[in-house]
Amino acid sequence: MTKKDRNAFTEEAQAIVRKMTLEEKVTLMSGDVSLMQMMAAKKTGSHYNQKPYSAGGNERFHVPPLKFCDGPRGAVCGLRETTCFPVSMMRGATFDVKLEKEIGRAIGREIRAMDGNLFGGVCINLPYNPGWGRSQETYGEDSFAIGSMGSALVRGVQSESVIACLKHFAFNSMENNRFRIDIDCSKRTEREIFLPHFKDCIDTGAASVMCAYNLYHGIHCGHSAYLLKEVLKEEWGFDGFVISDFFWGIQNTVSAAEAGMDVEMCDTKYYGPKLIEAVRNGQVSEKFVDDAAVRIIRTLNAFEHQYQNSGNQYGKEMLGCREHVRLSLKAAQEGMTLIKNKNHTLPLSKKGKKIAVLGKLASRANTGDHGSSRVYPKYVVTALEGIVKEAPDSQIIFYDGNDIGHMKSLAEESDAVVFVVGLDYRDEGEYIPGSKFNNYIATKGGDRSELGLHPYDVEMLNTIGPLNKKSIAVLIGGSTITVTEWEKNISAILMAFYPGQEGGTAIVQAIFGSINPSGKLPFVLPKDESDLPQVNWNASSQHYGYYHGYHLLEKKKIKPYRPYGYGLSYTSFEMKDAFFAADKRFIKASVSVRNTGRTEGTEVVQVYAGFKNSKLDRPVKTLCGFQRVNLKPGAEKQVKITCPLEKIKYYNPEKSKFELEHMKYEIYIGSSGDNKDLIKGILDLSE
Amino acid sequence: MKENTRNSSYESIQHLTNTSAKVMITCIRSSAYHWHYDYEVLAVLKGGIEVLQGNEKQLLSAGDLVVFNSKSVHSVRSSDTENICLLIQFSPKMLEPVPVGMTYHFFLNSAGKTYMPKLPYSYFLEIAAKIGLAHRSEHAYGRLEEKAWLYMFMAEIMQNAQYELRSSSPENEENAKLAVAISKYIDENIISEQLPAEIYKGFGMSEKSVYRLLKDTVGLTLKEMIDAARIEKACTMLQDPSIPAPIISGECGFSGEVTFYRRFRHAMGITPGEYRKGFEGNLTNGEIQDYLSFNDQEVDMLLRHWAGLKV
Repeated sequence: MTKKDRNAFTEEAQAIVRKMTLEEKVTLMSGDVSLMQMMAAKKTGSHYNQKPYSAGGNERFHVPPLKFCDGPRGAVCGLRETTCFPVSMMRGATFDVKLEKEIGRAIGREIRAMDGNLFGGVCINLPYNPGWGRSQETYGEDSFAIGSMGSALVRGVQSESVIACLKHFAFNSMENNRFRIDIDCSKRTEREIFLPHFKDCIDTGAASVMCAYNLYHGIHCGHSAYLLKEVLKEEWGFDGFVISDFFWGIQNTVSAAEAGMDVEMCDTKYYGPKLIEAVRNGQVSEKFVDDAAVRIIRTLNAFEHQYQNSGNQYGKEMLGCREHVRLSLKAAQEGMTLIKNKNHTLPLSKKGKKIAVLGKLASRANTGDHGSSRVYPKYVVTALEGIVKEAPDSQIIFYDGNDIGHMKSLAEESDAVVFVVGLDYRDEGEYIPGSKFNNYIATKGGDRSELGLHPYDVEMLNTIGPLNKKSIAVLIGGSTITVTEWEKNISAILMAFYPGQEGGTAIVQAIFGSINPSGKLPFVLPKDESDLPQVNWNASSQHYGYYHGYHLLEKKKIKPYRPYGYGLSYTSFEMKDAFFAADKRFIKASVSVRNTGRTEGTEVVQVYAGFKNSKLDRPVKTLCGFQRVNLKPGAEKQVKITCPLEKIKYYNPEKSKFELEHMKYEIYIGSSGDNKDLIKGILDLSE
Repeated sequence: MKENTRNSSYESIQHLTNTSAKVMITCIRSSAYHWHYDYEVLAVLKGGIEVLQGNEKQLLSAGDLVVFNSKSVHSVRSSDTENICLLIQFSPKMLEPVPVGMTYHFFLNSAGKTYMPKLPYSYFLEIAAKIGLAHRSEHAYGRLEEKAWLYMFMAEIMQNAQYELRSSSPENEENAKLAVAISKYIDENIISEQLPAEIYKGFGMSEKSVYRLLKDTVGLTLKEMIDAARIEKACTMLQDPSIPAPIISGECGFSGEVTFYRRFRHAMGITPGEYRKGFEGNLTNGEIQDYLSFNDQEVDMLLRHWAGLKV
């Protein structure tokens, strides 16, 4: 479903709007679910968004209401029904756009089966600092990768006639103070770092956008005519509608309406009667209402038409069905990222071994945050259940206590020790402060002020790790977890993220080698968190600089613990015969990849462009293409990657447009963001 | 722990519909190596007993408490004829939900003291004694109290004692069954002096595989197991003053009286004669009793004492 498909419905929408009363038009723009209703539903035992939240609709003209289902790790609606996928960050580590599209399709089908029509789970914010509590909901730190993966999700969801809603527009990369934080950045940072992935998804055809809570340059994003009207609707030609983030996304009727905010979600406080009154007394021109109404009707009718014409009638049989669970497992398998494997510690042999499993997280159903992205699947396979199932001939002993002596004996008498360590919803996620009002005793989620493990996990790894040569740390978490304080004492480290409902299966398959890890870090893993841009999570204002993540470390010549795009395999690959070229629109890169090991495996080939010759302040290099390639032992394939020239342009604030620097670019192709893993070439784009 | 456990090493434990577990207050004489699916809590209220788990022998005296895990092979025998013990058996099902394919293995043994619990042992004993008291209660609420304290006990061991979750591979279970079968064979054929050879042949196993099996499950060598069984049988027979010592020596498979005396004294610290003497005072009607008589009032007093209530 593209913009072009939807344009066919413009005239019909305009005709309807002409016949509608002001009340009818404003009703389309106003959410139906009040905070009181939501809290009341919670008290009766329902969870957030158990049923789609509806807004608008018009019976007289047969306009369906918008029915919102949250995400992104699946459809939030339902209880023990829908499929829980790995968090987006793990899907980001797969670098598999085809799979992400398939996941989008599965989520789309499940939303239709839940009677929803809008997926509020295309979260594509860029974590300026990975301590952002909701980093797990996005695809990594690189704008190009976020844009590619987000676009794939949009394509998948919308191909099943469900509206994909991008969020949170824009600069929403801090959680604790999200309602108040005022973000500032330069024009180039805005255009080159924080907005391109939104534009990519709009270009793909995303039909809805949710505003952010935070302020940008002193203005609430939901009131920002610059962001919503000027950039999104005019410059990018967005034809869909903008919805507010729930309850606090709009704080003033006139500011929001004039800025191009189309729907107040998910209740009605500032729209509804207040908007009608504002139009009647001339504070808001009716043309804003008409524009919003046309956008809403056009979009909903187009998607409804597509669904009716598809012949599909998805019912409960779709929810958590075998095919969707298989996709969830596949994403977890592809996203498992092996970041250390000293002396081939992994894979472990399954045969007759005694394996000690340590760490409280091993037996927890830990799929990530417990805020608005929480999905409620039928079951979750824990790491412990996975290991018992996968290695029936081994003796598995799990200890989750704190007695170091007990752990020591287990480590000494076992053939291998698997530590499952990391984070859960208490450590990161949507910020829910404890209060009487919401009946939460303890604060949940929020930003992480430190990027390492809990001190008790660090102590365990440092004390017990050296006692067994086969010591394996499985890291659970939504983004960067620094490992420097303990990694020397551990032989193998597997980053497992929050791997979804089949996560335990995938973790253990990777440990025993039934799958070959192929995930790549979608962020740089620094030695020290102070290498990253510093953020005060509780500040009232924050400046986002031009550099973050691997861009920053490379610029400052700081060697990370692991570079962006890094991930080991149980086999080895050789790349040669790199070829680079460019025409007026595309950069073309190709390389021959050969599996030189004994195991089938998948490599993620990455292309970076370098800006050494730039006269401007630009990154050392930036990602501009990637592709997965699966190879049997000994097999060889040529991988071709193309990238629009747009992606290496810079934003000229004086001319308010992207421009190409005419110079020689370094161009790299290889297996990680580290130059030693890349073949370098030169691309001459001088005039 | 009835005498007949000597013949059927696997105790099948029937749960009555109105109780959640089996509770017994008894004097323990002896039981051969056995195991059961149920967890077993053993609290010594008075006197002493000897517990054999693996190759560890522990002496438990009044105030001691031990939890035998589901399917763990163990044996218990009296070290003091005056002992009174509280036994509580509960099904692994009562601990559910348990991760698929795993079982809880608790570490709670006030005489062994590996992996100390977070709270003093007396705390667990108090709850166990309250289960016993509720079990003996004549009031209608007694049944509810019994269940309540039982659940409390399970919650407390999970929260405040150490445990491991262990995978129960089918192989482990088969091995435990085989070990118990060997133990049973030993008991039934204790008269034979050629037991090891008969066992290798009868079970179709090599000496090496029997050794490995028993080390893994019971923690003893075959010889140690046979010796223990001979001594145990001798203890039982010695309690009947009508059986002459040379008969006992032969029935128990000792190669001669001298060996019998030496081995018995080595194992028990006293001679067979001294052991026999110790029993005579307790006998009524000249009959062997598995449960020595004890009076109900004393039991209530003991339970109240260990429950920390006014006696």
